[in-house]
Amino acid sequence: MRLALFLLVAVAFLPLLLKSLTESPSPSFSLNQVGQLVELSADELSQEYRQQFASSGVTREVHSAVMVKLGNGNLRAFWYGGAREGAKDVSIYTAELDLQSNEWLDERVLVERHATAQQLGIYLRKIGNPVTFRDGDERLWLFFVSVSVGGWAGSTINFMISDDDGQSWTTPKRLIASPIFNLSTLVKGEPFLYTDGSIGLPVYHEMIGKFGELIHLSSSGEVLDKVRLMSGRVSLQPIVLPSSDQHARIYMRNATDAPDSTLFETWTTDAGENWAPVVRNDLPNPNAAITGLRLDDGGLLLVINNQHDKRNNLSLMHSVDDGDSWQLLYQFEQEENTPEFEHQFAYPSLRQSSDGDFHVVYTWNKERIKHIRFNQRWLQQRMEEAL
Amino acid sequence: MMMETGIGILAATLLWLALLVKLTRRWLPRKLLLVVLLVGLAIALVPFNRLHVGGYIFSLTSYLSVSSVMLLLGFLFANLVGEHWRGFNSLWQSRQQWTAILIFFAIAGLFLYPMTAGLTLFDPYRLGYLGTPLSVALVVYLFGWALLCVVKRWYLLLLLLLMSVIVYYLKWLPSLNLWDYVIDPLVVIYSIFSLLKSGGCWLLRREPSTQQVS
Repeated sequence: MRLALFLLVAVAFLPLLLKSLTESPSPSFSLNQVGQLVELSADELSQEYRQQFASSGVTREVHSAVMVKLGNGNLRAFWYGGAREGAKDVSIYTAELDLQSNEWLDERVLVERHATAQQLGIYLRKIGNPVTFRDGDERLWLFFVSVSVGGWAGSTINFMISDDDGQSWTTPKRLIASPIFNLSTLVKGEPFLYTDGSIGLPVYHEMIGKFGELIHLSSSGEVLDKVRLMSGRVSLQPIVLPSSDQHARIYMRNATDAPDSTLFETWTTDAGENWAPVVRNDLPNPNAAITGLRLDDGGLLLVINNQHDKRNNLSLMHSVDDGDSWQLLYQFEQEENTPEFEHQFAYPSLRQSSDGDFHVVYTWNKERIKHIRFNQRWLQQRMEEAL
Repeated sequence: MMMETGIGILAATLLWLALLVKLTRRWLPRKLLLVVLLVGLAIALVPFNRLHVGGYIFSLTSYLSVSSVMLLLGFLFANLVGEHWRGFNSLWQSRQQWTAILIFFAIAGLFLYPMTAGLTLFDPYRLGYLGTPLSVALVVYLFGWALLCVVKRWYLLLLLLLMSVIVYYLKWLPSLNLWDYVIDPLVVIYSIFSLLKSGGCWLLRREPSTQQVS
C-alpha cells in the first residue's frame, strides 16, 4: 500500500518537476508598434498640427483615454466617463477617428458596469482604466480594471477581444494575476506583442506596496508569467518601449509625491529575461501617467507632465540616445493654476496612424478627452529646432 | 457566464453553506443541520439584485483553491453524515495530521503573501508559473510534504496535495499558477489562527480545542 502511494506521488509530481527544471526561452519583442519615420523632401509636406476634443461631453468627467489602429487605417479610442472617477455610473466609451475628415464618430458606451457584472457573474462596484492593442491576428484587445470592494487598490483586470475592429466583442473574462483574492493588479501602459504571438501587458500593484510589473499572456489570454520590476511603494504604471527583438526600456510613474520626483526606468538586453535594477530618470514626474513611442530610427518620444508637482503642463520629449538625454520638443499644454482652478492634463496616449501622422489623446481638465494630431513634417521641424 | 466562473461561484456557495453550518451547529442537533443546509441552499438559489449569494462571495474571494474546496466538502460531510462512515472518520479525525495540515498551509502562506505585497523584488507567486529555475523549490516543497504524508500516514493532506496537482493538470481553474490550486488566503488565515489558538491553549496548559476543521 505504502509503496503504491510513493509511486503515485512520484507519478503525480514528476511532470511538475520536469516542467520546473525545463527552461523555456523568453520570446523576442515584436516591433510592430514602432513609429515609422520616412525621408521627407523639402516641399513634400507642410507642417500640420490640429487639436480637437475626442469626447463630446456626454458625461461630467472623463479620464484615461487610449487608442488603437484599426484595419481600415482609422484609430479607435477608449476612455471611461461618468459623474466622477469611481462613480457607479462610470462606463467605458469608444469612438472612431476618421482619418480623412479628422472627425470622431460613433461615440458610444462599450462597457457598462451592470452588464459587465452580469457577464462576469460577480458584483462590480466600479470600472476604470482601459488599455488596448491589436494582436498579430488583427484582433483588438481591450483590457480594463474593475473593483468589487474598496478602492482602486482592489482592482482586477478584465479583457475582451474583437475580431471586427471593435464592432462586436467577446464577453469579458478576468485575468487571475494575484494570489490574494486576485486583488490589486491594474493596467495603464499599452500592451505589446512578442514574435511568437504572445502578449506583454504592463501592469502595476497598488495594495500596501506600489510597484510596476509585467505580465506575459498567451495569445488566448492566459497568464504565463509575471515579473516584478521593482519592490516598495514608489512606482506605478509602467510603459514598455522595445527597440529591437532583445532590447526594451521601461518607464514608470513615480508614486511618491516627493518634491523632486522623477520617472523611474529600467531596461533589458535579453527580451525581458532579466531587467536592470530600476533607477531614477532625469525627467520630472508629478505622480502622473506617461505615454511613449519608439521610433524606427531608434529615437524615443515621451509625453509627460514636465514638472515635479502639478499636471498643468503636458510636453512632448525626444531622445536620440535611447533615453540617456532628453530634449523638449513642444508643450501641448501650459496653463497657470489659480486658487480657484487647477488644470489637469493627464493620462496621455500616443499612437501613430496608418497615414504616418501622430496622435495624442489625454484627459483635459477631467472634462473632455483632447486629441492632438501632428504630421511628420511638424515633428521633424520640432526635432530640428530642439537640436 | 463562463464555465470557470460557474466553478468559482459553486465553490463560493460551498463556503456559504459551511459558514451557515459552522455558525448554527453549536445550538442545533445534528439532524437539524441538514435543514440548515437545505435552507442555505435555497437562499443560494435565489438571486438578490440579479446575483446569487455565491456570486457575492465569489466577488470577494475570487477562486478558492482546490484544498479549500476539499476541506469545505470534508467539513460539511463530517458535520452531516461523517459519523456513519468509519473510513471517512479515520481520514478526517487525526489530531497529529491536522497539526501537520495547519503547519503546511501556514508556512506556505507566510512565505507567499507578505512578499506578494511588495516587500521584496523577489515575488514568490512567480514560482507558481513553473517558468523560472527557482520554481523547482515550490515543487520540491510540495513533493516533500507529499512524501512525508505517505511516511506519516497523513492521508488527508496527501489527498489535498494530489487533488490540487491533478486539478492543476486538468486546468479547471482559469490560472496556470500552481499556487492558486494549492492555497488561498482563507485556508492560510484559518490555519494561522488555529495554530495560534492551539499555541495559546498550550501555553495556558489547556487542552487544544480546535486542531481540526470543526
